[in-house]
Amino acid sequence: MTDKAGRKESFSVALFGKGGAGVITAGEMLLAAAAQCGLYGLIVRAVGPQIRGGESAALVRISRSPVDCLDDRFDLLLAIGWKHAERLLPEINIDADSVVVTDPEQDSVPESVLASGAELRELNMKEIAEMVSGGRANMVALGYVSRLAGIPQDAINQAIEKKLGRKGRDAVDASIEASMLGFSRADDLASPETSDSGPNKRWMISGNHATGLGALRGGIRFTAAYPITPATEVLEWLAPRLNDIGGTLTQAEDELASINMAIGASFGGVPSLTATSGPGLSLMIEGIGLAVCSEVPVVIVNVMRAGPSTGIPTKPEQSDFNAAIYGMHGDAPHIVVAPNSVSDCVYTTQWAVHLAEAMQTPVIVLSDQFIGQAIVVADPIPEITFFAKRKLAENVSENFERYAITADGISPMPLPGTAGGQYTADGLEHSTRATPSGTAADHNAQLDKRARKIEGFDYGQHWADIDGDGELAIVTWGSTTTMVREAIKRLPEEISEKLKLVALRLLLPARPEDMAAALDGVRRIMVIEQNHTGQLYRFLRAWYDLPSDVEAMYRPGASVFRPGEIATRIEEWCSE
Amino acid sequence: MVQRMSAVVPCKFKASDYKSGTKPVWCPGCGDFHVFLGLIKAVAALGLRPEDIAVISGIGCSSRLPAYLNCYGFHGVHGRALPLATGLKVARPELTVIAAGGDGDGFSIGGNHLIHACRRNLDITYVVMDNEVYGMTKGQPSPTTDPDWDSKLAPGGPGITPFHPLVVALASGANFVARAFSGDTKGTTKIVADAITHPGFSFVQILSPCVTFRPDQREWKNKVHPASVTTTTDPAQAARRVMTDDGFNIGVLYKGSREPYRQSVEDNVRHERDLDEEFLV
Amino acid sequence: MNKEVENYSQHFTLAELLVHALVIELEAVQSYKDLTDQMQECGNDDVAALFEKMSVLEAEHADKIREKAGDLELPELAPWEFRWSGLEPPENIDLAGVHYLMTPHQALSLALENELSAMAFFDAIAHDCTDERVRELAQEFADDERQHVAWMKEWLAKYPEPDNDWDYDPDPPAAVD
Repeated sequence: MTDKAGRKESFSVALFGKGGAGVITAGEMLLAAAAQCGLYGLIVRAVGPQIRGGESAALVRISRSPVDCLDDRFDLLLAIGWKHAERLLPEINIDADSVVVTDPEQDSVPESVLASGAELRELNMKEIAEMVSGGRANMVALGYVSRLAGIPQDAINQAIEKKLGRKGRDAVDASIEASMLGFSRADDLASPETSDSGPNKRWMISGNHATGLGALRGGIRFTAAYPITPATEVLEWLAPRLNDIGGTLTQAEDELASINMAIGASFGGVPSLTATSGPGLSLMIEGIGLAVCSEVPVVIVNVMRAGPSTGIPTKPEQSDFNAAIYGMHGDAPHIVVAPNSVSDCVYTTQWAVHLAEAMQTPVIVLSDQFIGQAIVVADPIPEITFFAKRKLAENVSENFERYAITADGISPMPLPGTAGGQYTADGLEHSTRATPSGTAADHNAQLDKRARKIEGFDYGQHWADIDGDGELAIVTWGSTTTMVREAIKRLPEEISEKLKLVALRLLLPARPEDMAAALDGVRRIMVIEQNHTGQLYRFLRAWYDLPSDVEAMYRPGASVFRPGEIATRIEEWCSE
Repeated sequence: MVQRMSAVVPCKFKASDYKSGTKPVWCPGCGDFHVFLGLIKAVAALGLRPEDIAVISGIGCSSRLPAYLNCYGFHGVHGRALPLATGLKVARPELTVIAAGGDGDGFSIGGNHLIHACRRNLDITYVVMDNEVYGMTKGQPSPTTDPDWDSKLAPGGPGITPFHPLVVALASGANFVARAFSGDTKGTTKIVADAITHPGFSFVQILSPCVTFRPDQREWKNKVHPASVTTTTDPAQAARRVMTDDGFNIGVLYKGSREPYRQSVEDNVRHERDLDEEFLV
Repeated sequence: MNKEVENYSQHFTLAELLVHALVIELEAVQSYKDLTDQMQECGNDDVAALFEKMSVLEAEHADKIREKAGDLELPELAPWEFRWSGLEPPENIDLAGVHYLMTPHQALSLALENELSAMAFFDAIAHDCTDERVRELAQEFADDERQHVAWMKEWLAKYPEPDNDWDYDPDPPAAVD
């Protein structure tokens, strides 16, 4: 896409191939090479249903400025072969301005690709690769595509060294040579100029790893783990690193065990976390309710995938909103937050730990498969210090009350080992002295306390990211924010100056006062989200005073929003 | 329940009659292909009508099985194949109900259900394709993994004693306990057919190598061996044997004679109208 | 069970020999069909085409054996009543040798192994069986397999051996559930 000055702002490449072709690896190297040149970018992986040998596509976007989502279309589609391409082609939008590169010796180009009107180029990737001993077609493709993207050979070489270094010198040399051959076959396409400032320090990180990092920065030192797609990487990243910094990860036998292990560790005083996806969250709901009632801090990361039930494990969706907010039986106030980009996973997860510890309550972090598994090249993510710790009861006096009614609703928590502080944490309703109680007085007092501690907390500016101050507000959350932000950037100024973006980070508790302030002067609202029933939209109507003119744009996952269609919709909406 | 005691039966069905035609997503080389083959040969040999069979699974590579069969099936949630199968069998006792899944699904999250299904002793056959790894989620240890198997989630190995499914099944009251190997289709077919025929809860652990995450399991074909002793009907004897099992004995360990659980059906059920009586003032 | 396997070759009737020979081919047809499907699913077209050819060839052998059997009534045996020389019928592909990136050379090597073990199966019966007519027929079958072995070897020679890194896939597996 070109920016408002007409310069090529970003370049999008789709690399397609079947199992064994190594397109994902090539795509990651392309991105890494771009990073070497001071460019930013993003890669998303699309896969077929097979565990091994299936078709896959690396969807790469390279840009002069930071990007957090894919573009509407691809400038270049390269296929090492076209087997089973029809399963993934709907996600790869090409048109008459695109270039399609095909290997004439491999399968023939699908009809839909020919029908797009894209320029067809032939590149004998397999043949060229065979000219180098140990050479592979994906490296030829890498060289070719890099040249078209304006990326120089040494950046490619560095990326290859980094990724293949542990396979030995021969593998590296063969790959470099193959890429050079590919490079020599290309010419320049209109591509983003590399940055003058040269390779700054950039980070290349996935949302799931960023989540892990945020957790550790926030102080998590115990994790209970049960694998589930697409959250497993959070746990696998944490496993060795927790060990390194003096924490522990324990693999649980299932999600029921995970949540309870995390609660147990936290009861002992160690900030704890677990990560899962929709089906696991459903299993954990009972445990999360226990953490609410017993007032034990715990962080539950839910990397959302398309639901309901087993759903589509490899596609993102924002449909666990209701489960996270309303899933528990009883009146169970708790906190739900959502990161709104890959980089924001660090910040939001760290904040989640802080909130959990400060308010002795469970915090659910709603990430999703898109931001979880996308890898971005971004500016380094700075450390942010949250000055919050668990309020501990250290010098316990006589008549100490674990669940004492305090002004802010948060009662000091004695850790096991603290003399005189002994109590039994309970899912049963209890008195201030932590003894089980069925009286109305105690029930009301404790319910009020647990609600008050969360409603009365000062969330500061973190509750939402607010951009602009127009009278037409767009409210969104999570990964959809990335597409909305980009859509707004594309709009002509006479439209974008009328807009105000409210990207919620804090989904629960509702913040009526903050929202009222944010919507001061706003006449119309559009709510945009990726699920079938407009879950945030209906929540807003239930909990907030909104202007009378509210529009909702929502659609289930599997066909993720693209910035262009959002921009078009906003533009229409603005002129209504 | 199938009353087939004789080994030679007229083959009304071919194994291929039980294939749905959906192509498996399993990696080529996966042991589950042969388990699938053994299962369809077994039910063909028993002459069971495809529509009278229900295959119930949880989540994982092995649990994809029902879709590949031309029988009734339920691809349930992780670890809950046995409760699903239980409900179905109690409601429809005349069906042949087969629960299937992997070692992660069956012994980790499903472990508790295994114990109680064995106790309950409904006439169900439970086939677990054991590859000592969580394959679907890309290579974490499972309950049957050796303590020193290195992985990302448990660097250096889980460090804890592996689950021994035959011990647990026997101790919990399963009426038929066996182990098979996917590379031995003939043996697997026989054991599965026996398991289905035998009344009560039949448990079959089938060693089924994972070609993608446990390439070391290629060695299994050299390690498995027929059990040196024949099946016993004495639980104490079975218990002694299984405690010294090397993990590669193939065959039927134990065939018990507990009556399978059958919900009693009343003959004279009152009409619900008659129930109002007790509330009359 | 071991004893069974050791002495399998001595006692076969003509009908039993024929049904074993027929099942060998029929199982091979199915086995190669399954492998063709698997290879197609993972985009390994060259090997899929090879396995498809094999299944057609085996189907032809099966037809020949049926012809040979003529009107003779063949016994209906349950799968576990067959007497093979090993755990599996001789022409069942050893799954341990199958891989989604396998090369034609490897596929043909596996097929060659099958023909060799089928040949050995019949050779043993031709040598050990107590019934002369069965010995003769077994010898015919063994000779047929010998011919197949020769064809396999010729065919195999046309393909290069796999490179050292034939099974290298730069990309990680996908978790689809």
